Amino acid sequence: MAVYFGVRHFSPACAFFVREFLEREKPDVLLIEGPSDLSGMIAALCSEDVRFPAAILAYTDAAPVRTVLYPFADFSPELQAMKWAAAHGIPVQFCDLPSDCLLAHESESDADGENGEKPAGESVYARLERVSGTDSDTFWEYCFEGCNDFADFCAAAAEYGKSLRECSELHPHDALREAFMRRCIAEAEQKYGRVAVVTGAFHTAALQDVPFTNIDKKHTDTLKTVKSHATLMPYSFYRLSQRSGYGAGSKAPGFFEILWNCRLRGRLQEAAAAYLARLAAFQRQHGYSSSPAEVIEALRLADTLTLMRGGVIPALSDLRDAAVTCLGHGSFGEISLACADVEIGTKIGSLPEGSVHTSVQEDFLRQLHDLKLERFRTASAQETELDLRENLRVKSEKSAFLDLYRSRFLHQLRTAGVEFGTPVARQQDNATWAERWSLKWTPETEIQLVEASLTGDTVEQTARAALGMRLANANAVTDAADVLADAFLCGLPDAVREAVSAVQRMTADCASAADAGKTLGRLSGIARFGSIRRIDSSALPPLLQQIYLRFCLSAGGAAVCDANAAAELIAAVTAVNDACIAHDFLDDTRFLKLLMQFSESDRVNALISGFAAAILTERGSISAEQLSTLISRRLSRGTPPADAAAWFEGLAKRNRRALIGRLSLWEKLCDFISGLDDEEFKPVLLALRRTFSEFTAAEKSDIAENIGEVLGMSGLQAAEIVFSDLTEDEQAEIDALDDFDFDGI
Amino acid sequence: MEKETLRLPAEQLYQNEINALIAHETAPIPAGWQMSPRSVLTYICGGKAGDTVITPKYVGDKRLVEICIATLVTDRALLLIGEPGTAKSWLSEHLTAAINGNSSQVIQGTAGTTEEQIRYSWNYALLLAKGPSFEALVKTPVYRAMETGTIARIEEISRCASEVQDALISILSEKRISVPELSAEVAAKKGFSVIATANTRDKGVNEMSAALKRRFNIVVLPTPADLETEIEIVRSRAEQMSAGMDLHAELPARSAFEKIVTVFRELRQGQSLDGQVKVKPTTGVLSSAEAISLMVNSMAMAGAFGSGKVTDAELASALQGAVVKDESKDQAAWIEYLENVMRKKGGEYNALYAACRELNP
Repeated sequence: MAVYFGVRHFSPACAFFVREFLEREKPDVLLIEGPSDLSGMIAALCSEDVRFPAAILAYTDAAPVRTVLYPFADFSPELQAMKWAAAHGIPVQFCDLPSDCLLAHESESDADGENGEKPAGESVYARLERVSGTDSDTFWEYCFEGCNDFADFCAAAAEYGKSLRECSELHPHDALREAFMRRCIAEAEQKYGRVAVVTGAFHTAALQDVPFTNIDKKHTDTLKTVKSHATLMPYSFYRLSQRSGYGAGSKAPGFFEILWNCRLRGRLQEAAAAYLARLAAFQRQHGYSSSPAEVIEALRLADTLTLMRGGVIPALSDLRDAAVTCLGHGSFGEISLACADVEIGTKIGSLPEGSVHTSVQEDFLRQLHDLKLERFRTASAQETELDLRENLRVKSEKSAFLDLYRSRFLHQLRTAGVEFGTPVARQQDNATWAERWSLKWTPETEIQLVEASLTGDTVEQTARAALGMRLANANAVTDAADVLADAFLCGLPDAVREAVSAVQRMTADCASAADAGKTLGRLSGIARFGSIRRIDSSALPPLLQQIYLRFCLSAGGAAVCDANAAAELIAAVTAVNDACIAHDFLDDTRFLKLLMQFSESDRVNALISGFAAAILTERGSISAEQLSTLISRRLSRGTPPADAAAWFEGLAKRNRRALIGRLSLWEKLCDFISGLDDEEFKPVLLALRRTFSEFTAAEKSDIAENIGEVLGMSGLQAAEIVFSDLTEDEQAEIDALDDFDFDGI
Repeated sequence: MEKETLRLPAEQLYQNEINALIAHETAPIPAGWQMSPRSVLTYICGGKAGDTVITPKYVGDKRLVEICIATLVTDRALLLIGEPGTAKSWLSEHLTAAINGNSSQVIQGTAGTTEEQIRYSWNYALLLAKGPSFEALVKTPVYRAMETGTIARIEEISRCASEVQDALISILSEKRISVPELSAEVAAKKGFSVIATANTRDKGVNEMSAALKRRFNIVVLPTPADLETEIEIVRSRAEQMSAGMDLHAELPARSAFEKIVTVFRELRQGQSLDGQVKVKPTTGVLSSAEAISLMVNSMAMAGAFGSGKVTDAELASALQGAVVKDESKDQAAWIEYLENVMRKKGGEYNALYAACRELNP
């Protein structure tokens, strides 16, 4: 004799009524949909020390890691049933296929590709939406979550499960699972007597009153399995909301928790007010004004909407609509953060010490072994050198790229926030094929690994999740570019794709010329040396072209600026120049035109003008005559002396040798300086001192020779003056300049 | 008489549909309404009443219409906000036509609207002759709506001066107008409400006070949801308009509409239609209404000065005028768009791209 209760996972109404169901039926044994070999975990799950959400995780121990996950929250009907049974001393068992068999199915369907699973035609939920005119979640909430009567609820839920079943195709895997469940039920009946079965409503119809037959037995006698492990793990509401598929997750765990708590207090109708009040509280905390009057109006609107749409208590979608209208003043953007906080929430579960052994830890140890890094698992730091290039002396691909794989693994750990390896700066900065790491294992590393398991099931997944998080929080395009670079280092092609589109988006949105230049420099390096990391970098050239265009279009305006901004822009121009030279796909006419404009214009900061002239000279884009005309004009009396000095400083930043060899330049500089009066000379002296401080001693002596020639001295005489120590008087005069009001120079 | 009218009010244009809905009413009707909220929804979004087919008046998110109607049921005032050309006034007209059978209680908000136009004013001849009396009172649409328990419409509320907007606050919260000259007070009958519309592009002209905003439920109307819908709207409206104007030009091919609407949508949404490329939005308003007038203008150009056929060159110069409103900012964004998005589309867009590039060397 068996009794059945069909549930929807994470439904507070089901969780509430399943207890009443058990209370009335008083079964001798309870069967729950879940991997039958993991029944041993039920006791631990029901322990007082567990704070939900928590999950049962089964995973394969060979790469690639497959996982099946059974998350539970306080409002999971399965959990409430288990707890009831534990409290009443009734045996509880899982009755679905064993986890190793489920994992074998996972691996198979992954191998089939993504299209293998999709049934042809309209899904039952899409059909439900078309017929009822509301989305399937709202439909459920209207019909079931608002229900207050046990008998009504059971009748409706049974009908719902039956209809779902009639309207959808049965997957062979589900047929196998159900055959197995029938087997478990038959066995339990024999052993204990009265059985209560709690499964998804979809399955109940196939279990109820369908006897266990020999066909079922034949089906379930031999099962495909893979080797696997299982553990309990803490879970989070955030992660629950990420798994949107039916059964494994819940779109709005925070909201359902409100519903659950209100139902427990017997005040279901207060859930809407609680939701809206929390939204308003969040808004107030974050600096928006949200008055109680607005909450009242939102509540009235939600009630009216629900009535119009045919519900009893407002569903989440009604509350959202009402909140957008009244609290958000028509725009969802204004309350989106509040919605995320209230609907999803930040709740994280916890388990008693020592009961967690997650797949990430397992994955970490396995990779450590595979990559022959086990000897570094010690408390003392050791260094290792990686050569990312293909090792041509070995046969297998795995050993040929061993160092590359090691590097990816270490970068993934670093990105996931697990402190095992730290990169050590190398002398030869540009050698992108070599890396040096310092590796150290501490107890903290273990804790960080367990923490990382909250965001993924393998090291790779956690790294990807961390990158995704950083990308979501990125404020400037340079942040996104950093994520892109890290995604490259971690060897995660899909993270690279996401980061590329984020960089693209942010470039169009808000990138300043300086940021665009910096980003271009950063990404140019990856585009150039990406192949060594064996990752598809074909998305980069179009992106670089876009950033380049952005820079060229916005730099014109940005160049009219003060000295601080000029320094940033010069760094950007340098980066863009390097990128232009390195990549053929960047059409540098636009850039050279821009530089020409900088160099000609008197409105542009003089430092930038000078620097543009320097690059143009270096690239051979202006002739010697043009340059000398420029020099004459810039160093002539009409130019403010401070500007002239700044211009010279800019010019002297590049190709110094060529400048030193140009005698006419020094003549003009001498004319310029001797034409200044004392007051004008002071700021110019400062700029010149700064300029020449960057020259090497040999360069300085060559300059001295030049100047000597201009002034009619021998090179030696001039050098003597230049290199002799300052006299006390001179030093005093220079010190006096410290008090000089530089006026923004 | 009717034939000479340029434009009939909605309740007369769709008299049949409204009558059919009223005849087949089954649900309870709120006080002051002539049909149930569900029937109003059917009237706006289309459906059936008995054998009569109800044409959809608003193509867009049904949920938004539900929110609008629910707002009016709860006797709150409704504020429709949106870009120009997102059917705000259209929706407000049809809502009142369905709910009251009268969409003509309108106040057009302008910089010159005065407080008297919201509350009441006087017939000064009568006032001087007989002194203050109810006969000498000139009732505004809002006044009449309060008396009859119906809905008044206020168009472009954000263009009114703030003291005029403030006059609404007491009306909306107290639901009564006092007439101190007659020591009388007029209380609103059940069913009274206000639908106001405001333009997002007018933001900051006369910023609405928080006190007034608080008295409205605000619904933001989006631009048409998908490309096909918008092409259809633009095409049919351009066809209607050009037919009345004798432009001596052919209606351009569908592909021309598709190009223009695509460009408008991409610039408006700030990303390419496939979502792959982010685009810098421009300062101008690129609404469907703007696209319609752009097409009609190019037809007029082609008819008066060209071959009578709209070519890519005409489209390009019309686009230039529509998109580049602020020389310094918009041109850079427009070039970026041309290079990053339009050039890569290829095919039919090549000629248009070339024509646009010519205007932006």
